[in-house]
Amino acid sequence: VTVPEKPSILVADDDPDICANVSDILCDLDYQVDTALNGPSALELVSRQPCDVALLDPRIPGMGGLLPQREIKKSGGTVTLLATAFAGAHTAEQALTAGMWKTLAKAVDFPSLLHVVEQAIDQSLIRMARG
Amino acid sequence: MDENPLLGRYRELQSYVGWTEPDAERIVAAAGLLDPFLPGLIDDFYAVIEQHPAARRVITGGQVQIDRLKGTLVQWIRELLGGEYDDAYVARRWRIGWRHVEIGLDQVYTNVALSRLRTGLIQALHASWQLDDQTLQETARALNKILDLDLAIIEDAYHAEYLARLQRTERMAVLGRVGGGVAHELLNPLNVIQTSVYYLLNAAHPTPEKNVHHLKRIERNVAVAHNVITSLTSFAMVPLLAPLPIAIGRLVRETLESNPLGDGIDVTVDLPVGLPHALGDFDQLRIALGNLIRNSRDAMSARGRLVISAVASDGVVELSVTDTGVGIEKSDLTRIMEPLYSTKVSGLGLGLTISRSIVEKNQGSLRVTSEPGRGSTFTIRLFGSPSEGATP
Repeated sequence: VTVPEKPSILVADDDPDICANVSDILCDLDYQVDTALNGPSALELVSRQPCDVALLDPRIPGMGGLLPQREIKKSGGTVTLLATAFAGAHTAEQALTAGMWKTLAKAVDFPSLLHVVEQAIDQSLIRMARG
Repeated sequence: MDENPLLGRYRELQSYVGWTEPDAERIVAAAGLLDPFLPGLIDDFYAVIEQHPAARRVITGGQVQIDRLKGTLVQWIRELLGGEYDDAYVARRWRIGWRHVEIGLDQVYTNVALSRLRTGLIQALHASWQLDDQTLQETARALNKILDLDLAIIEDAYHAEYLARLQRTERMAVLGRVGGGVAHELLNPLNVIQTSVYYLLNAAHPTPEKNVHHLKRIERNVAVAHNVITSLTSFAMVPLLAPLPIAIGRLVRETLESNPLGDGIDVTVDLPVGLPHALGDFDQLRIALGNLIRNSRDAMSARGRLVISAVASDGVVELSVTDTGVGIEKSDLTRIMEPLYSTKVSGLGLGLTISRSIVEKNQGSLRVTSEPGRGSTFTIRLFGSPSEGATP
């Protein structure tokens, strides 16, 4: 019998305050949260410990466009969300083509962000169950 | 448009070409001779336009427009030969230049079209002349003068309107860039404040420490947003300065206190003993120096060395800020002091513009040398205070 672990979320943003705040809010809701300030450390975290959901800002240093998203996806049952202040139609389309699950405007209100995170976690769990 | 300044301008040009009342009389006397030639000259005028696409493309209304324009041209030449060179006459000439900018007809086509018309009018004058040669020459000279004056006032109007339009376009472009920059710079602190407030209002298990953290984070980000606004207003209006003797040591010390560099950056302040005071406005120069120090900090990320040094010679004090940061590419070097130009990921691109503007208002100069990958040196040059030789 395995004890179900807390769903894990990776938050990647170049602003440490944003990372800390999103982390505090999600931890308070009983998620396991890791934060990364740049693309390479986001990749390193995921390669060590796959997460259920990744919240990415594509403009963080070392992201190289949407490359980390592809790498993160390769690592297993991760659902990624793109959060950006500049999620214009073009970026959003590129992101979805690259296999990103959803794109969000960065200034999204938190209740709807949390709702999307919950949906994303469900997606991740379903995918894992299917193996 | 007030017509009096235009008429004044026209009178000035008249006196420049040596226009006299007899010139006007000769033109009026010749007008009757020239009038029968006008339809032929005007047909030639538009036939030539037809052959030149850049001139023709401004005529978008087809034959109807050409017929109307031909009528306007006849009227224009009759006024030219009419002898009444008053404020209404000048205003109509001005309007031609203004209108040419509006329809996008380059001034060069007015110049060549008038040249052609001039040739035609002089030929017509010769062909129909019945009197003595001397009067013919005087009349031809008067005709040339009035054509030159028309060309001058039309060109004047063209340039004035062209410039005004250019400035309007540039102002709109700057407004867009500033707006975009401000939006970007304010969005981050607002996002932080928004998420901290969300935590404080909604967290199920907040700890007292966490609450304090979030309040402090809000406070800090309000200051960040405030700084964005302050730098904009200080750019818009560097106030008049009160140049007084400034102790460089105190300026450096206080600026470093208000712009902390972080633990990884080693700071050396190297000011010679007996460095004279510099002349300038202390508070403004603190802003200028602060921008340089913050740029150095950003260029070095977490680790590096900052040296602030000064030298004095020949009544001048030079204060240098040298860092071991990323340096500035040659292509960027000439542009970094332009407003809204930034090589940083974030930032409005106003810091160096403000610094330079402040230093220049203090009768000084700001210069930069840099080696990409090695670091940069910014040097503020100010006048030394003649009376005060003091310790830093």
